[in-house]
Amino acid sequence: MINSLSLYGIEESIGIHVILSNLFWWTSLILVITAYKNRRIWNVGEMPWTYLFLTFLFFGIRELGHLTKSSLLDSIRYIFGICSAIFMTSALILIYMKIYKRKTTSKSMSFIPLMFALIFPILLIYLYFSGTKTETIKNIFFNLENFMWIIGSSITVYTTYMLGTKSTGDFVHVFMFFQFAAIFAILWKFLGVIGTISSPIPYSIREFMETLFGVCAIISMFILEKMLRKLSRHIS
Amino acid sequence: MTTKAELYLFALSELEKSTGDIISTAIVTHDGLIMASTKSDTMHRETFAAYGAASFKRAGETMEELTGENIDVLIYESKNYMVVTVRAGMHALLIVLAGKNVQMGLVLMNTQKTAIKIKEI
Repeated sequence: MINSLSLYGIEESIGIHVILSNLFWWTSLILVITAYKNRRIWNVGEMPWTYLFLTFLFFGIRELGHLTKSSLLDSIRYIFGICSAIFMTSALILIYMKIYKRKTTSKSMSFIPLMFALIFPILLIYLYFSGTKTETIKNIFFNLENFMWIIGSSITVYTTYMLGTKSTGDFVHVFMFFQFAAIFAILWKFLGVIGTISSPIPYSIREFMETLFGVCAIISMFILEKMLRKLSRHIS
Repeated sequence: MTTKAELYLFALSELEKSTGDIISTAIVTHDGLIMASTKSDTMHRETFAAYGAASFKRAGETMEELTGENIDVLIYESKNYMVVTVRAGMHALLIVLAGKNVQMGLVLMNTQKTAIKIKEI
């Protein structure tokens, strides 16, 4: 039976947004990989590239999770979302520090986001084996993901603003679209929080924001990849 | 086969040899990406390229607003350093960071000569 609430975009559904979102994020991942091949041209260090790669990989996996309907798998999906938020924020902070602050981040400092991201799977295992209901675990991680994306994206709005004002040419567009992506992520997750604490927000509005988030992310990566590919061809 | 990057690097090392007291040189795109650069102990390559291209862009906008013409050369100096940026063809900029123990005229002349060489590569 078709759930009428899903049909009218009130509740979560597996629709065109899931297909589009998966398409955007997995294509973005391919763009990151091809851009990485030309990393010697934009040598911002290994860790920012790694975190960019992990951002798109983890969000892609998160989006694949839409295809399931299990509470536990949903919790795991949210963990991938949380990690993606941490890595996106870290990548842009490291790029900002490296290029515009001229600060070399030590190896141990660069691994802090990775360590932080590891807390969440451990928390899941702890909650699961402590007998917490899977539905409760799902709600905890849903809220955690909301807060992580709101905080992470707010930081990203700041770093991309600083990067954008100091850069030139197509880099302005790269950081501008990253900032748009972060703004849509904030809106998407903010609506999720509002839905949890007060009045429910129609899922179609949130999924529209999520799709725009993906659109801006892919545009940003496309510009970066195109810029590096063009220059690589020119100087070889 | 010699790549363009190697030819650019050769042009930069010739510029450094002929001028003296040059701290760093780089050929960058208008986006601030490095096409070729010489090693510098005082500056990160990416920072040098990004700030160099950004300053040229801003100065270019100012020049266009004030005179309606394109900028070709940008020179700025501090107590101990000077930076000369020259347009090297349609897509590249040549940025030179020099110390104060060198004549500005010599730096400017050699930088412009090298920019012409880069344009022809």
